[in-house]
Amino acid sequence: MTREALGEFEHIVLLAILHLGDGVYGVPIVDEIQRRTGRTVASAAVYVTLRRLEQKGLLTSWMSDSTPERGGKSRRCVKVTSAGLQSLRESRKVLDSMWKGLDPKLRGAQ
Amino acid sequence: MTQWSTPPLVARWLLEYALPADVRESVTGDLDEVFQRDCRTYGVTDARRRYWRQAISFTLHFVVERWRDLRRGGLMRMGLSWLDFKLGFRMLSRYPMLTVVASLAMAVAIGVGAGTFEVITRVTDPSLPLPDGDRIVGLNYWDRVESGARPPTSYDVLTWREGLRTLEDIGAFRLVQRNLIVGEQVGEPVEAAEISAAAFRVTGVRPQSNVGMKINRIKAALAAQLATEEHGGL
Repeated sequence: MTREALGEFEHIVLLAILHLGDGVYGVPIVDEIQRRTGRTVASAAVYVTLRRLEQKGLLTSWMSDSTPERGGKSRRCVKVTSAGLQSLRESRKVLDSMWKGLDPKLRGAQ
Repeated sequence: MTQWSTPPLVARWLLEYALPADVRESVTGDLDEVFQRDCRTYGVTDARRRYWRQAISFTLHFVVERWRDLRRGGLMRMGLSWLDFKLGFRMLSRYPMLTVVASLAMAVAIGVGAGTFEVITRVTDPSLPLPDGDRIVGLNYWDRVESGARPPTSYDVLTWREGLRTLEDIGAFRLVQRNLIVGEQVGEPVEAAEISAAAFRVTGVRPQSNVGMKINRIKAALAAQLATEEHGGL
């Protein structure tokens, strides 16, 4: 695998964007991650990860029109690129192959 | 119509300063949106406290991210990766004796190298202990028949002064013996030099009258003697 492997948080952020659909921006992504994981995440960590994913070419972004409730500032909407989808598929494949055959052991540990 | 509250100005300023330009507008906009939501949910005071917490968190995260970008860029330009340094330091800490021996070997090698360089420089390109001493060179004639230096005459010095263009100035000297008498003591012969007026410019020693003149003559004589020993003439 020549592509750089996804980190756990990068994985989570990409999946949250896929759940919310294209054109989503930072605030709902943070909310979605908190809702699905049940953990409190630092918003800053999400924004740093979004920026890093875009630099890696796994995300693409564009600015929306400015809105008055945001003090006239625009939103940065994001969308997972085909490279991002490919990374997610590879990452899932690796995890699936590592998980294979472990269910009985995990059941035994419970 | 909903009321629009203003986030803390200092926290806003901190964010504007810390955030990279490409995300500044979107992040501050998102934080403003969250602030308005928090004002409705928790009240303005609590919302302001939350905004401050977010501002500090964003500042720290993006400062660290910026530092990472710089480090990554700098190391990549050098053809190195952060992993090289990490592995290097790990090796050094895991094998302390190797670290000590390697450090000593490097220290000795640097010392020997610097010493050799200094000796070679002193032998091949010595400089006089005078202002701009490294720019003073000796001129002499070499007699191929007798395989030895032939002291130039006054006529030679005048010819050089007329013809040579790569030298700034030419001074001449000759060694003489004089009796040095100090106070009531019996005079003793000392090596001295008679130098031309231009030699004062070359040596950077100003001619003075009376006692000072004598001292400067001695200085010039010493300089001339050094020049004779090291260059074979001035």
